[in-house]
Amino acid sequence: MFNKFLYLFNEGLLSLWRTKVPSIVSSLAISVSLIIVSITYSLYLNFEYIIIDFKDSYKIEVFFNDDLSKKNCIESFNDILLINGIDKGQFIDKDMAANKFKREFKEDINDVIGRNPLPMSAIYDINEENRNYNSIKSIINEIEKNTNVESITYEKDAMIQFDNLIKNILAFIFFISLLIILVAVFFVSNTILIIIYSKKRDIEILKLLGASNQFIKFPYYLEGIFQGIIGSLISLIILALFYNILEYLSLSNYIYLDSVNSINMIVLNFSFGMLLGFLGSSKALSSYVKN
Amino acid sequence: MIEFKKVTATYKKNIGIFDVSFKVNDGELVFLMGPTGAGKSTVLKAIYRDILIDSGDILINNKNITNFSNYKIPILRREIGMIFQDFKLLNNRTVFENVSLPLRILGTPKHIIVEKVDKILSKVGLNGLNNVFPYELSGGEQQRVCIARALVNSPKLILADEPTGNLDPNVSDEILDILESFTRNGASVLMSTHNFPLIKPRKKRFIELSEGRVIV
Repeated sequence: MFNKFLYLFNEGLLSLWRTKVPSIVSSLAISVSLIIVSITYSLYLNFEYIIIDFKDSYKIEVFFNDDLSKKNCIESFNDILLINGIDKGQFIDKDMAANKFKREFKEDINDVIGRNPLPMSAIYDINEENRNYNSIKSIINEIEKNTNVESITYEKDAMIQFDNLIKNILAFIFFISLLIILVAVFFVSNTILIIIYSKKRDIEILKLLGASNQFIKFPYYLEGIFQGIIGSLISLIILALFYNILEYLSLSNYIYLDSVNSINMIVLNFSFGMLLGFLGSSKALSSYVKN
Repeated sequence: MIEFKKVTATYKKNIGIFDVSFKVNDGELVFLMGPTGAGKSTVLKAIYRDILIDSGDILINNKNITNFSNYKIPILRREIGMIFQDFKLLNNRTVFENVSLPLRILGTPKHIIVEKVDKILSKVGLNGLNNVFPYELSGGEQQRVCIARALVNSPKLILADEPTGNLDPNVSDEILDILESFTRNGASVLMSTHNFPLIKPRKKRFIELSEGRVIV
Protein backbone atom coordinates (compact mmCIF):
# COMPACT_ATOMS: atom_id res chain seq x y z
CA MET A 1 0.00 0.00 0.00
CA PHE A 2 2.77 2.40 1.03
CA ASN A 3 4.79 1.44 -2.07
CA LYS A 4 1.78 2.19 -4.24
CA PHE A 5 1.21 5.54 -2.49
CA LEU A 6 4.86 6.52 -2.93
CA TYR A 7 4.73 5.57 -6.60
CA LEU A 8 1.50 7.51 -7.22
CA PHE A 9 2.80 10.52 -5.27
CA ASN A 10 5.88 10.50 -7.48
CA GLU A 11 3.64 10.12 -10.55
CA GLY A 12 1.66 13.21 -9.48
CA LEU A 13 4.86 15.26 -9.20
CA LEU A 14 6.19 13.91 -12.51
CA SER A 15 2.90 14.68 -14.23
CA LEU A 16 3.07 18.25 -12.92
CA TRP A 17 6.59 18.57 -14.30
CA ARG A 18 5.66 17.04 -17.66
CA THR A 19 2.73 19.40 -18.11
CA LYS A 20 4.47 22.56 -16.95
CA VAL A 21 2.67 25.10 -19.12
CA PRO A 22 -0.96 24.14 -18.43
CA SER A 23 -0.08 23.57 -14.77
CA ILE A 24 1.40 27.08 -14.49
CA VAL A 25 -1.71 28.57 -16.15
CA SER A 26 -3.90 26.66 -13.72
CA SER A 27 -1.79 27.69 -10.71
CA LEU A 28 -1.98 31.33 -11.83
CA ALA A 29 -5.77 31.06 -12.08
CA ILE A 30 -5.83 29.69 -8.53
CA SER A 31 -3.49 32.42 -7.28
CA VAL A 32 -5.62 35.18 -8.86
CA SER A 33 -8.71 33.71 -7.21
CA LEU A 34 -6.91 33.43 -3.88
CA ILE A 35 -5.70 37.03 -4.08
CA ILE A 36 -9.24 38.24 -4.74
CA VAL A 37 -10.67 36.02 -1.99
CA SER A 38 -7.94 37.18 0.44
CA ILE A 39 -8.55 40.85 -0.33
CA THR A 40 -12.30 40.28 -0.01
CA TYR A 41 -11.68 38.55 3.30
CA SER A 42 -9.51 41.48 4.50
CA LEU A 43 -12.20 43.93 3.40
CA TYR A 44 -14.72 41.85 5.30
CA LEU A 45 -12.54 42.02 8.44
CA ASN A 46 -12.23 45.80 7.99
CA PHE A 47 -15.94 46.01 7.48
CA GLU A 48 -16.49 43.98 10.64
CA TYR A 49 -14.43 46.52 12.58
CA ILE A 50 -16.48 49.38 11.16
CA ILE A 51 -19.66 47.48 12.10
CA ILE A 52 -18.41 46.94 15.67
CA ASP A 53 -17.46 50.63 15.96
CA PHE A 54 -20.81 51.76 14.61
CA LYS A 55 -22.86 49.30 16.65
CA ASP A 56 -21.15 50.50 19.81
CA SER A 57 -23.43 53.49 19.43
CA TYR A 58 -26.56 51.28 19.53
CA LYS A 59 -28.18 52.36 22.78
CA ILE A 60 -31.67 52.29 24.31
CA GLU A 61 -32.84 55.29 26.29
CA VAL A 62 -35.59 54.62 28.82
CA PHE A 63 -37.64 57.39 30.51
CA PHE A 64 -39.38 56.60 33.78
CA ASN A 65 -42.79 57.91 34.90
CA ASP A 66 -42.47 61.38 36.32
CA ASP A 67 -44.45 60.63 39.44
CA LEU A 68 -42.11 57.88 40.62
CA SER A 69 -39.65 58.27 43.46
CA LYS A 70 -35.95 57.94 42.74
CA LYS A 71 -35.94 54.66 44.73
CA ASN A 72 -38.65 53.17 42.47
CA CYS A 73 -36.88 54.37 39.34
CA ILE A 74 -33.60 52.74 40.48
CA GLU A 75 -35.49 49.50 41.17
CA SER A 76 -36.91 49.57 37.65
CA PHE A 77 -33.48 50.48 36.28
CA ASN A 78 -32.02 47.39 37.96
CA ASP A 79 -34.89 45.17 36.73
CA ILE A 80 -34.20 46.26 33.15
CA LEU A 81 -30.48 45.52 33.61
CA LEU A 82 -31.44 41.87 34.17
CA ILE A 83 -33.12 41.58 30.76
CA ASN A 84 -31.25 39.23 28.44
CA GLY A 85 -29.30 41.26 25.87
CA ILE A 86 -28.65 44.31 28.06
CA ASP A 87 -24.95 44.74 28.67
CA LYS A 88 -24.79 47.67 31.09
CA GLY A 89 -26.67 50.83 31.88
CA GLN A 90 -26.33 54.29 33.29
CA PHE A 91 -28.99 55.74 35.55
CA ILE A 92 -29.71 59.47 35.09
CA ASP A 93 -31.59 61.19 37.91
CA LYS A 94 -33.24 64.62 37.63
CA ASP A 95 -30.07 66.53 38.64
CA MET A 96 -27.90 64.64 36.17
CA ALA A 97 -30.52 65.27 33.46
CA ALA A 98 -30.45 69.02 34.29
CA ASN A 99 -26.64 69.04 34.10
CA LYS A 100 -26.80 67.24 30.75
CA PHE A 101 -29.29 69.86 29.51
CA LYS A 102 -26.95 72.61 30.67
CA ARG A 103 -24.00 71.01 28.86
CA GLU A 104 -25.92 70.64 25.64
CA PHE A 105 -27.94 73.88 25.58
CA LYS A 106 -25.72 76.15 27.73
CA GLU A 107 -28.69 77.11 29.88
CA ASP A 108 -29.97 76.05 33.26
CA ILE A 109 -33.44 74.48 32.89
CA ASN A 110 -34.42 75.70 36.37
CA ASP A 111 -33.77 79.27 35.25
CA VAL A 112 -35.66 78.80 31.96
CA ILE A 113 -38.80 77.15 33.27
CA GLY A 114 -38.49 77.80 36.99
CA ARG A 115 -38.43 74.07 37.86
CA ASN A 116 -36.85 70.84 36.59
CA PRO A 117 -39.41 68.95 34.44
CA LEU A 118 -36.84 66.47 33.09
CA PRO A 119 -37.78 62.85 33.96
CA MET A 120 -35.41 60.31 35.45
CA SER A 121 -34.03 58.07 32.71
CA ALA A 122 -31.45 55.41 31.89
CA ILE A 123 -29.23 54.64 28.94
CA TYR A 124 -28.55 50.96 28.24
CA ASP A 125 -25.79 49.38 26.16
CA ILE A 126 -26.60 46.22 24.20
CA ASN A 127 -24.58 42.99 24.24
CA GLU A 128 -22.44 42.57 21.11
CA GLU A 129 -24.44 39.59 19.85
CA ASN A 130 -27.75 41.44 20.22
CA ARG A 131 -26.74 44.54 18.30
CA ASN A 132 -29.26 44.12 15.52
CA TYR A 133 -32.72 45.49 14.95
CA ASN A 134 -34.66 42.28 15.69
CA SER A 135 -32.90 41.57 18.98
CA ILE A 136 -33.21 45.19 20.09
CA LYS A 137 -36.91 45.09 19.21
CA SER A 138 -37.45 42.09 21.49
CA ILE A 139 -35.43 43.76 24.29
CA ILE A 140 -37.69 46.79 23.95
CA ASN A 141 -40.78 44.56 24.16
CA GLU A 142 -39.42 43.24 27.45
CA ILE A 143 -38.72 46.76 28.76
CA GLU A 144 -42.22 47.87 27.80
CA LYS A 145 -43.66 45.28 30.19
CA ASN A 146 -42.25 47.37 33.05
CA THR A 147 -45.15 49.67 34.11
CA ASN A 148 -42.77 52.30 35.51
CA VAL A 149 -41.44 53.03 32.04
CA GLU A 150 -42.98 56.08 30.38
CA SER A 151 -41.23 55.90 27.02
CA ILE A 152 -38.33 54.32 25.18
CA THR A 153 -36.22 55.84 22.41
CA TYR A 154 -33.68 54.24 20.07
CA GLU A 155 -32.36 54.82 16.56
CA LYS A 156 -34.88 52.53 14.90
CA ASP A 157 -34.54 53.71 11.28
CA ALA A 158 -30.76 53.90 11.39
CA MET A 159 -30.60 50.38 12.80
CA ILE A 160 -32.90 48.97 10.13
CA GLN A 161 -30.96 50.70 7.38
CA PHE A 162 -27.61 49.65 8.77
CA ASP A 163 -28.73 46.05 9.24
CA ASN A 164 -29.97 45.97 5.64
CA LEU A 165 -26.70 47.47 4.45
CA ILE A 166 -24.73 44.79 6.30
CA LYS A 167 -26.91 42.05 4.83
CA ASN A 168 -26.43 43.41 1.31
CA ILE A 169 -22.68 43.77 1.67
CA LEU A 170 -22.32 40.28 3.14
CA ALA A 171 -24.46 38.86 0.35
CA PHE A 172 -22.29 40.70 -2.20
CA ILE A 173 -19.07 39.38 -0.62
CA PHE A 174 -20.53 35.87 -0.54
CA PHE A 175 -21.65 36.11 -4.17
CA ILE A 176 -18.29 37.46 -5.38
CA SER A 177 -16.37 34.78 -3.45
CA LEU A 178 -18.61 32.04 -4.81
CA LEU A 179 -18.20 33.36 -8.34
CA ILE A 180 -14.42 33.49 -8.00
CA ILE A 181 -14.33 29.97 -6.58
CA LEU A 182 -16.46 28.66 -9.45
CA VAL A 183 -14.26 30.39 -12.03
CA ALA A 184 -11.12 28.93 -10.40
CA VAL A 185 -12.62 25.43 -10.23
CA PHE A 186 -13.62 25.77 -13.89
CA PHE A 187 -10.05 26.80 -14.83
CA VAL A 188 -8.38 23.99 -12.90
CA SER A 189 -10.92 21.48 -14.14
CA ASN A 190 -10.33 22.48 -17.77
CA THR A 191 -6.56 22.36 -17.35
CA ILE A 192 -6.69 18.90 -15.79
CA LEU A 193 -9.13 17.83 -18.50
CA ILE A 194 -6.65 18.97 -21.18
CA ILE A 195 -3.91 17.04 -19.39
CA ILE A 196 -6.15 13.96 -19.11
CA TYR A 197 -7.06 14.17 -22.80
CA SER A 198 -3.39 14.34 -23.70
CA LYS A 199 -2.91 11.16 -21.66
CA LYS A 200 -6.01 9.39 -22.94
CA ARG A 201 -3.93 6.59 -24.49
CA ASP A 202 -1.84 6.15 -21.31
CA ILE A 203 -5.03 5.88 -19.23
CA GLU A 204 -6.44 3.24 -21.58
CA ILE A 205 -3.21 1.23 -21.37
CA LEU A 206 -3.25 1.43 -17.57
CA LYS A 207 -6.84 0.19 -17.54
CA LEU A 208 -5.92 -2.74 -19.76
CA LEU A 209 -3.12 -3.63 -17.38
CA GLY A 210 -5.58 -3.81 -14.49
CA ALA A 211 -5.17 -0.38 -12.88
CA SER A 212 -8.15 0.55 -10.75
CA ASN A 213 -9.87 3.88 -11.27
CA GLN A 214 -8.39 5.14 -8.00
CA PHE A 215 -4.89 4.22 -9.23
CA ILE A 216 -5.51 6.21 -12.40
CA LYS A 217 -7.18 9.15 -10.68
CA PHE A 218 -4.84 9.59 -7.71
CA PRO A 219 -1.94 11.31 -9.57
CA TYR A 220 -4.43 13.78 -11.12
CA TYR A 221 -5.93 14.59 -7.72
CA LEU A 222 -2.40 15.19 -6.48
CA GLU A 223 -1.61 17.29 -9.53
CA GLY A 224 -4.63 19.49 -8.78
CA ILE A 225 -3.55 19.82 -5.14
CA PHE A 226 0.02 20.65 -6.18
CA GLN A 227 -1.32 23.31 -8.54
CA GLY A 228 -3.28 24.66 -5.57
CA ILE A 229 -0.14 24.77 -3.40
CA ILE A 230 1.82 26.60 -6.11
CA GLY A 231 -1.11 28.99 -6.61
CA SER A 232 -1.21 29.65 -2.85
CA LEU A 233 2.51 30.40 -2.75
CA ILE A 234 2.21 32.86 -5.64
CA SER A 235 -0.83 34.46 -4.01
CA LEU A 236 0.93 34.80 -0.61
CA ILE A 237 3.99 36.39 -2.22
CA ILE A 238 1.82 38.93 -4.07
CA LEU A 239 -0.26 39.62 -0.95
CA ALA A 240 2.91 40.16 1.10
CA LEU A 241 4.15 42.65 -1.52
CA PHE A 242 0.77 44.36 -1.52
CA TYR A 243 0.85 44.53 2.27
CA ASN A 244 4.32 46.12 2.24
CA ILE A 245 3.22 48.67 -0.35
CA LEU A 246 0.23 49.65 1.82
CA GLU A 247 2.52 49.97 4.82
CA TYR A 248 5.01 52.01 2.80
CA LEU A 249 2.21 54.33 1.76
CA SER A 250 1.24 54.58 5.45
CA LEU A 251 -2.24 53.33 4.66
CA SER A 252 -2.09 50.88 7.54
CA ASN A 253 -3.49 53.63 9.80
CA TYR A 254 -6.69 53.57 7.80
CA ILE A 255 -6.93 49.92 6.93
CA TYR A 256 -6.96 47.01 9.34
CA LEU A 257 -4.05 45.03 7.95
CA ASP A 258 -3.45 42.49 10.69
CA SER A 259 -5.39 39.83 8.85
CA VAL A 260 -3.00 39.96 5.85
CA ASN A 261 -0.05 39.36 8.13
CA SER A 262 -1.58 36.60 10.18
CA ILE A 263 -1.28 32.83 10.20
CA ASN A 264 -4.99 32.87 9.29
CA MET A 265 -4.20 34.27 5.87
CA ILE A 266 -1.51 31.65 5.22
CA VAL A 267 -3.80 28.83 6.36
CA LEU A 268 -6.71 30.31 4.36
CA ASN A 269 -4.59 30.50 1.20
CA PHE A 270 -3.11 27.02 1.45
CA SER A 271 -6.29 25.24 2.44
CA PHE A 272 -8.38 27.12 -0.10
CA GLY A 273 -5.76 26.64 -2.84
CA MET A 274 -5.57 22.91 -2.24
CA LEU A 275 -9.36 22.67 -2.08
CA LEU A 276 -9.72 24.54 -5.39
CA GLY A 277 -7.12 22.28 -7.02
CA PHE A 278 -8.79 19.17 -5.65
CA LEU A 279 -12.28 20.30 -6.70
CA GLY A 280 -11.01 21.18 -10.18
CA SER A 281 -9.35 17.83 -10.72
CA SER A 282 -12.35 15.98 -9.21
CA LYS A 283 -14.66 17.73 -11.65
CA ALA A 284 -12.43 16.87 -14.61
CA LEU A 285 -11.98 13.26 -13.49
CA SER A 286 -15.66 12.71 -12.81
CA SER A 287 -16.46 13.71 -16.36
CA TYR A 288 -13.68 11.60 -17.88
CA VAL A 289 -12.60 8.60 -15.81
CA LYS A 290 -15.90 6.89 -15.11
CA ASN A 291 -16.43 3.68 -13.17
CA MET B 1 -7.53 -22.31 -18.30
CA ILE B 2 -10.03 -20.61 -20.57
CA GLU B 3 -13.43 -21.99 -21.45
CA PHE B 4 -15.99 -20.44 -23.79
CA LYS B 5 -19.51 -21.89 -23.64
CA LYS B 6 -21.74 -20.80 -26.51
CA VAL B 7 -20.58 -17.20 -26.28
CA THR B 8 -22.26 -14.57 -28.41
CA ALA B 9 -21.03 -10.99 -28.39
CA THR B 10 -22.25 -8.54 -30.99
CA TYR B 11 -21.54 -5.01 -32.02
CA LYS B 12 -23.88 -2.84 -34.03
CA LYS B 13 -24.93 -4.11 -37.46
CA ASN B 14 -24.93 -7.70 -36.18
CA ILE B 15 -21.19 -8.31 -36.37
CA GLY B 16 -19.22 -10.05 -33.61
CA ILE B 17 -18.93 -13.67 -32.46
CA PHE B 18 -21.77 -16.20 -32.36
CA ASP B 19 -22.14 -19.37 -30.28
CA VAL B 20 -18.39 -19.67 -29.83
CA SER B 21 -17.27 -22.60 -27.67
CA PHE B 22 -13.71 -23.77 -27.01
CA LYS B 23 -11.31 -24.60 -24.22
CA VAL B 24 -7.65 -23.78 -23.64
CA ASN B 25 -5.98 -25.95 -21.00
CA ASP B 26 -3.25 -25.02 -18.54
CA GLY B 27 0.19 -25.00 -20.17
CA GLU B 28 -1.28 -25.00 -23.68
CA LEU B 29 -0.52 -22.63 -26.55
CA VAL B 30 -3.55 -22.26 -28.80
CA PHE B 31 -3.77 -20.14 -31.92
CA LEU B 32 -6.89 -18.24 -32.84
CA MET B 33 -6.89 -18.18 -36.62
CA GLY B 34 -8.92 -16.31 -39.16
CA PRO B 35 -8.94 -13.43 -41.60
CA THR B 36 -9.39 -9.81 -40.57
CA GLY B 37 -12.89 -9.29 -39.20
CA ALA B 38 -13.35 -12.96 -38.28
CA GLY B 39 -13.83 -12.09 -34.59
CA LYS B 40 -10.40 -12.98 -33.16
CA SER B 41 -9.99 -9.69 -31.30
CA THR B 42 -13.59 -9.89 -30.10
CA VAL B 43 -12.83 -13.25 -28.44
CA LEU B 44 -9.82 -11.73 -26.65
CA LYS B 45 -11.73 -8.56 -25.69
CA ALA B 46 -14.49 -10.69 -24.22
CA ILE B 47 -11.91 -12.49 -22.05
CA TYR B 48 -10.41 -9.28 -20.63
CA ARG B 49 -13.86 -7.75 -20.44
CA ASP B 50 -13.29 -4.89 -22.85
CA ILE B 51 -16.70 -5.79 -24.28
CA LEU B 52 -19.77 -7.36 -22.69
CA ILE B 53 -21.13 -10.59 -24.11
CA ASP B 54 -24.79 -11.04 -25.03
CA SER B 55 -25.09 -14.69 -23.99
CA GLY B 56 -23.09 -17.74 -22.97
CA ASP B 57 -20.43 -18.18 -20.28
CA ILE B 58 -16.72 -17.49 -20.08
CA LEU B 59 -14.70 -19.32 -17.46
CA ILE B 60 -11.19 -18.24 -16.51
CA ASN B 61 -9.41 -20.65 -14.16
CA ASN B 62 -12.84 -22.09 -13.32
CA LYS B 63 -14.26 -18.68 -12.40
CA ASN B 64 -17.24 -17.50 -14.41
CA ILE B 65 -16.38 -13.93 -15.38
CA THR B 66 -19.55 -13.33 -17.40
CA ASN B 67 -21.31 -11.36 -14.71
CA PHE B 68 -18.28 -9.77 -13.05
CA SER B 69 -19.13 -6.34 -11.69
CA ASN B 70 -17.11 -3.34 -12.88
CA TYR B 71 -14.90 -3.17 -9.80
CA LYS B 72 -13.74 -6.77 -10.38
CA ILE B 73 -12.53 -6.10 -13.93
CA PRO B 74 -9.16 -4.57 -12.90
CA ILE B 75 -8.59 -7.58 -10.61
CA LEU B 76 -9.33 -9.94 -13.52
CA ARG B 77 -6.99 -8.03 -15.84
CA ARG B 78 -4.15 -8.20 -13.30
CA GLU B 79 -4.27 -11.98 -13.65
CA ILE B 80 -3.93 -11.82 -17.45
CA GLY B 81 -0.80 -10.96 -19.39
CA MET B 82 -1.81 -9.02 -22.51
CA ILE B 83 0.24 -8.54 -25.65
CA PHE B 84 -0.95 -6.23 -28.41
CA GLN B 85 -0.15 -5.81 -32.08
CA ASP B 86 0.46 -2.10 -31.57
CA PHE B 87 2.46 -2.84 -28.37
CA LYS B 88 0.57 -0.23 -26.29
CA LEU B 89 3.71 1.04 -24.58
CA LEU B 90 3.90 4.37 -22.76
CA ASN B 91 6.26 6.34 -24.97
CA ASN B 92 7.35 8.81 -22.31
CA ARG B 93 8.43 5.98 -19.99
CA THR B 94 11.58 3.91 -20.17
CA VAL B 95 11.61 0.19 -20.84
CA PHE B 96 12.03 -0.42 -17.11
CA GLU B 97 9.06 1.82 -16.24
CA ASN B 98 6.87 0.18 -18.87
CA VAL B 99 7.69 -3.34 -17.81
CA SER B 100 7.30 -2.56 -14.12
CA LEU B 101 3.78 -1.09 -14.53
CA PRO B 102 1.83 -4.29 -13.66
CA LEU B 103 3.93 -4.64 -10.51
CA ARG B 104 3.40 -0.97 -9.63
CA ILE B 105 -0.34 -1.51 -9.96
CA LEU B 106 -0.07 -4.37 -7.48
CA GLY B 107 2.01 -2.25 -5.06
CA THR B 108 5.06 -4.52 -5.20
CA PRO B 109 8.10 -3.24 -3.22
CA LYS B 110 10.75 -1.57 -5.34
CA HIS B 111 13.58 -4.06 -4.74
CA ILE B 112 11.34 -6.93 -5.91
CA ILE B 113 10.31 -4.88 -8.97
CA VAL B 114 13.96 -4.31 -9.91
CA GLU B 115 14.71 -8.00 -9.50
CA LYS B 116 11.68 -9.21 -11.50
CA VAL B 117 12.08 -6.66 -14.31
CA ASP B 118 15.77 -7.48 -14.76
CA LYS B 119 14.97 -11.18 -14.88
CA ILE B 120 12.18 -10.88 -17.45
CA LEU B 121 14.14 -8.44 -19.63
CA SER B 122 17.00 -10.88 -19.79
CA LYS B 123 14.54 -13.69 -20.64
CA VAL B 124 13.15 -11.74 -23.62
CA GLY B 125 16.63 -10.68 -24.72
CA LEU B 126 16.52 -7.02 -23.75
CA ASN B 127 19.41 -6.94 -21.31
CA GLY B 128 20.84 -3.49 -20.65
CA LEU B 129 17.94 -1.63 -22.25
CA ASN B 130 16.27 -0.63 -18.97
CA ASN B 131 16.68 3.10 -19.45
CA VAL B 132 15.88 3.29 -23.15
CA PHE B 133 12.61 4.79 -24.37
CA PRO B 134 10.31 2.70 -26.62
CA TYR B 135 10.70 5.07 -29.57
CA GLU B 136 14.42 4.31 -29.57
CA LEU B 137 13.75 0.60 -30.16
CA SER B 138 12.93 -1.44 -33.28
CA GLY B 139 9.46 -2.96 -33.75
CA GLY B 140 10.68 -6.39 -32.64
CA GLU B 141 12.29 -4.93 -29.52
CA GLN B 142 9.15 -2.97 -28.69
CA GLN B 143 7.12 -6.18 -28.95
CA ARG B 144 9.59 -7.87 -26.61
CA VAL B 145 9.04 -5.01 -24.12
CA CYS B 146 5.30 -5.61 -24.45
CA ILE B 147 5.82 -9.34 -23.84
CA ALA B 148 8.07 -8.64 -20.85
CA ARG B 149 5.37 -6.37 -19.41
CA ALA B 150 2.75 -9.09 -19.93
CA LEU B 151 4.88 -11.75 -18.28
CA VAL B 152 6.62 -9.87 -15.47
CA ASN B 153 3.86 -10.79 -13.06
CA SER B 154 3.99 -14.51 -14.02
CA PRO B 155 0.33 -14.68 -15.11
CA LYS B 156 -1.39 -18.02 -15.60
CA LEU B 157 -3.10 -16.71 -18.71
CA ILE B 158 -1.50 -14.83 -21.62
CA LEU B 159 -3.52 -13.26 -24.41
CA ALA B 160 -1.69 -12.13 -27.50
CA ASP B 161 -3.59 -10.13 -30.11
CA GLU B 162 -1.70 -10.40 -33.42
CA PRO B 163 1.65 -9.93 -31.64
CA THR B 164 3.60 -10.58 -34.82
CA GLY B 165 1.38 -8.52 -37.11
CA ASN B 166 3.91 -5.74 -37.64
CA LEU B 167 7.08 -7.81 -37.48
CA ASP B 168 9.28 -9.53 -40.04
CA PRO B 169 9.22 -13.41 -40.17
CA ASN B 170 12.48 -13.97 -38.24
CA VAL B 171 11.47 -11.70 -35.38
CA SER B 172 7.97 -13.21 -35.41
CA ASP B 173 9.43 -16.66 -34.95
CA GLU B 174 11.51 -15.46 -32.00
CA ILE B 175 8.40 -13.94 -30.40
CA LEU B 176 6.59 -17.27 -30.77
CA ASP B 177 9.55 -19.04 -29.16
CA ILE B 178 9.31 -16.74 -26.16
CA LEU B 179 5.56 -17.29 -25.82
CA GLU B 180 5.92 -21.04 -26.16
CA SER B 181 8.62 -21.09 -23.50
CA PHE B 182 6.13 -19.69 -20.96
CA THR B 183 3.67 -22.54 -21.46
CA ARG B 184 6.30 -24.82 -19.88
CA ASN B 185 5.65 -23.04 -16.60
CA GLY B 186 1.94 -23.91 -16.83
CA ALA B 187 0.69 -20.68 -18.40
CA SER B 188 -2.11 -20.88 -21.00
CA VAL B 189 -1.46 -18.80 -24.10
CA LEU B 190 -4.16 -17.79 -26.55
CA MET B 191 -2.72 -16.00 -29.55
CA SER B 192 -4.67 -14.55 -32.41
CA THR B 193 -3.11 -14.40 -35.85
CA HIS B 194 -4.02 -14.48 -39.52
CA ASN B 195 -0.57 -15.72 -40.50
CA PHE B 196 -1.04 -19.47 -41.00
CA PRO B 197 2.45 -20.10 -42.51
CA LEU B 198 3.95 -18.72 -39.29
CA ILE B 199 2.11 -21.12 -36.97
CA LYS B 200 1.95 -24.19 -39.20
CA PRO B 201 5.46 -25.52 -38.34
CA ARG B 202 4.66 -25.32 -34.63
CA LYS B 203 2.09 -28.12 -34.84
CA LYS B 204 -0.08 -26.58 -32.16
CA ARG B 205 -3.84 -26.67 -31.81
CA PHE B 206 -5.64 -23.80 -33.46
CA ILE B 207 -9.20 -22.53 -33.48
CA GLU B 208 -10.34 -21.15 -36.79
CA LEU B 209 -12.92 -18.40 -36.89
CA SER B 210 -14.87 -17.13 -39.84
CA GLU B 211 -17.50 -14.41 -39.70
CA GLY B 212 -17.66 -14.77 -35.93
CA ARG B 213 -18.18 -18.54 -35.83
CA VAL B 214 -15.80 -21.38 -35.01
CA ILE B 215 -15.28 -23.49 -38.10
CA VAL B 216 -12.42 -25.72 -36.87
